[in-house]
Amino acid sequence: MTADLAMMPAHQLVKLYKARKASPVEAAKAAIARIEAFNPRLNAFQHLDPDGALRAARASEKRWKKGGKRLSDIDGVPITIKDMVLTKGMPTRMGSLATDENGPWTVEAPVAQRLREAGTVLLGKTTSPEYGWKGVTDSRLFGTTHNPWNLERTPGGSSGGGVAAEAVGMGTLAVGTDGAGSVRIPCAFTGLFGLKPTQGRVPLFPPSAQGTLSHIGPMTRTVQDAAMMMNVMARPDPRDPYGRPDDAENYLKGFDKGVKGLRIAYSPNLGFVEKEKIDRDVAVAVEAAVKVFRTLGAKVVEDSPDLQGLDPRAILNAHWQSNVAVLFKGFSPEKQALMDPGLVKAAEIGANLGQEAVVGAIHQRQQLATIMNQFMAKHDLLLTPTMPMTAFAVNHNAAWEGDGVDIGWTPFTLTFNLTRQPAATIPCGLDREGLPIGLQIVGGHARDALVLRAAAAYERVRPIPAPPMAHQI
Amino acid sequence: MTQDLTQMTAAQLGKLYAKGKASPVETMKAVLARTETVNLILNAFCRVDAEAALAQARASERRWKKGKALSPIDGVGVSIKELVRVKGWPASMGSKLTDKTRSDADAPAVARLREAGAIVFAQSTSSEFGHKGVTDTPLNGVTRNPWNPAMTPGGSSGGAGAAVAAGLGPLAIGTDGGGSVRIPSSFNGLVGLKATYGRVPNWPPTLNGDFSNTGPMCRTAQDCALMMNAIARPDPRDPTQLPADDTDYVKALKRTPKKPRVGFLLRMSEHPLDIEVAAMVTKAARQVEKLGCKVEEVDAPPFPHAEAGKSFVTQWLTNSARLLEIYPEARHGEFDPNLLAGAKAARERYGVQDVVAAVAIRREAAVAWNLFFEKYDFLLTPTVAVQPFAVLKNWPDGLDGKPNMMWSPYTATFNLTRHPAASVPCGLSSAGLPVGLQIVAGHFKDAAVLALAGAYADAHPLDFPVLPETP
Repeated sequence: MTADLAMMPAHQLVKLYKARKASPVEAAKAAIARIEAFNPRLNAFQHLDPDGALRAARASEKRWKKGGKRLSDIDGVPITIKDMVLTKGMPTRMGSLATDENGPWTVEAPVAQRLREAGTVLLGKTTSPEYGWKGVTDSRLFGTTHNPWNLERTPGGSSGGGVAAEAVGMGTLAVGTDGAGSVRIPCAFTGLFGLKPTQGRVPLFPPSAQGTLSHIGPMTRTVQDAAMMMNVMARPDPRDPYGRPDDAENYLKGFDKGVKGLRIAYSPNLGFVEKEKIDRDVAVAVEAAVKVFRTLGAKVVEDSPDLQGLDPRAILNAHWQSNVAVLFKGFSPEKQALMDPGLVKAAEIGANLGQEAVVGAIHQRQQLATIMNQFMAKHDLLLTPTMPMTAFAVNHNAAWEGDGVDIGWTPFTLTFNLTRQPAATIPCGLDREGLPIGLQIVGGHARDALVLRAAAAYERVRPIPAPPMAHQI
Repeated sequence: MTQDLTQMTAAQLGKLYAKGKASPVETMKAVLARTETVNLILNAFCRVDAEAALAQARASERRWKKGKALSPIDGVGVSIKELVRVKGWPASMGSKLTDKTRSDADAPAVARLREAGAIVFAQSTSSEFGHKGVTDTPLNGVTRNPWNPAMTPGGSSGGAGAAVAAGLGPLAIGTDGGGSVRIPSSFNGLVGLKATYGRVPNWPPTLNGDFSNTGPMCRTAQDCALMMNAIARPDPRDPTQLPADDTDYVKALKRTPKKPRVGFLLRMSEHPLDIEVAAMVTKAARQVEKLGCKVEEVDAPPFPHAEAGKSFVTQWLTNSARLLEIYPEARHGEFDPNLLAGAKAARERYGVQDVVAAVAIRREAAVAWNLFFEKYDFLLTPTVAVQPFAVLKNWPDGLDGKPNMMWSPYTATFNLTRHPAASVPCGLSSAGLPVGLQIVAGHFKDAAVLALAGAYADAHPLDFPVLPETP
């Protein structure tokens, strides 16, 4: 029974709480049992707090009892938060030896605050490469995080700990961050649903080194769970000055309406990704997923934006390398010596970019977004592959033997960090080696609910499978 | 005296049109006649399209006769700043270097105004690429202030400010990247609004990116509200616009919050402040209290103003520096020397880390002010620290006789932070020159800013100067 509780989606778990057929304490214990069983192999946590989790679970249990008042629809659900998000009273190391292990841990990020106010049970902080700098998950601080589908492979990153935990039930809901794809890359590589919301929808504080490229999003085993998380997380906070107006969106409203009649564009290469760079199995699986949307009644057309010579990879590289340069400069030489050599290299390259390159990139970002906005005026949604490849071997900084300084190996995701559009990934099959493939679903600004609705429609006919490991408890 | 249609507000004209007591054609003719002479003095417009204006006026007149007016500002004249695209006109940007071929599309605000039936009749002058807070250019020469033509109307929307104050069309579109709607509104006695960033869509992306806002400049808050009802509508060409909402800015004029908490800040930092401006704005703050507000003197949020200023200047000048790449070096001598000097200085002064740090500091400043607006519904400051000064100067002289480079310390902060900010006139100085009160609020509270501006301005109206039509 406990094993089932750990893998159970939040929306089912809370039904059991309500019927008093399960309790938050049992759910927390089930998750902790899985952490004990799997974490030694996966290395998904930077910090664990089983005692705190059980305390929170007992408090929630009281609220679910007769006469109690639950704090939200996900009260008592076990969650994990990435080591990049500040939590009061719990260490946040940013995956870095350069951060002080003694804290103080006095600031609570808005998203952590909203989730705790909602009564969720925080199990711990999940691993991230140093300051989320790369799309895989290893660091000098904690070593390497592994993919539950194949331990020799990376779970992707930078929210790699969050997905490794989520995929095998070490927590019911996971919070990741995404500056160029760091929610969607690992969700694609580990067969999960993940959403990078519209910029400003989920408030971000303190400011990230990556500015408005950075987003916070849910990583879940079902689409509905992500919608339930958004209902808690996507609430305005004055500490995020780029926050959108409060529209009191209910992400579950219209959730079941399907995709019939929606105008959906399918772009196999987003108008700029070289076709030879896209793995054949990925291309085939994505094509098949697109057909499913047709079957469901969507009006799918193949259409790609004309980017007028702009290359989103170059625009993003200039942004993030220059941002990393400033982040790096903020540390003392002693601390700098502790940092990931790959990150240091990116910072050096960033510091040597010209003023023209960076100001030019800021302007090109707006031009790209203008083009994509006009493209999205023609279509309700856009489908692309999430990644050109599936999970590769651990301890490489990037795919294709890259050094990670060039983030261009994840072209489909990074484009929408630049444009600030909502973009989700949903599993759409396995490759020849049995590794998950992701389909990216992109919406126009603020149409996060529509993205969730389309993902849910697909999920109903193509449910998301768990990795074999999750059943081996 | 017969009614002088050039001195009417848009709201008054709309009512006269509806009753058949005035017509768009006679109004447009009156405005064009006045423009013909007065513009020789003021140089507010670099282009007047009389023929097209009269054709639009006749079409509007037919609509009013059929009872099918497109909006309350159908048939009202509006001028458009030369930084904003108008189909069929060159986007001259106050520059000798720009491509002078005719634009093939209207900017969003212009498109919306046409859809509302407003008559797009003239293009108003701007400093070159809107780079400075006064209005003179190598392309168009000097624009002057109708309250005293020896004085600058401010800038960069100086032509728009001078035009509305002089009765050359009651409505004007300005743009504001660092104060360019509010400074000329202050110097010409107008109500001008820089709304929350993204409220009024922009296209194409401007040199100053997300500092730049398109906004209304009018004689009354009500006219600004009428314009906002037209221009604060979504357009797919702007990826950073706010989501559509159905605010009726005119109705919202009557909805000021009950007993709002108002912070009054006379100085942003250590900068000179004209003693009459200080006295008039302090008096205005007391008058705001009489409108039912709880006004208290406040300190600026605990964020170094100098850092915010540096962030603004770094981004502003490095944006200007892009012009050095866009236009061939052989022609750089044709730029306004002030623009060229700033662009060149930026190339020498700022490295990549300065730019990135400036962007980060911008966000921190915005957080600090966001937290301020959790405590206060409004902030009051002077709009500009000085009275309008002589033309052909980029900055006034200080009391010490040296150039006062800090004459406009109040506006750019809210371009950094994206908060809505309006300028509303609070009287005339002893020299007979207008002084402005700046009203700022939290994000998205554009309608509330206009409502307070309206409540104040209606209680303290200005008499606008009527310049002679025969020189």
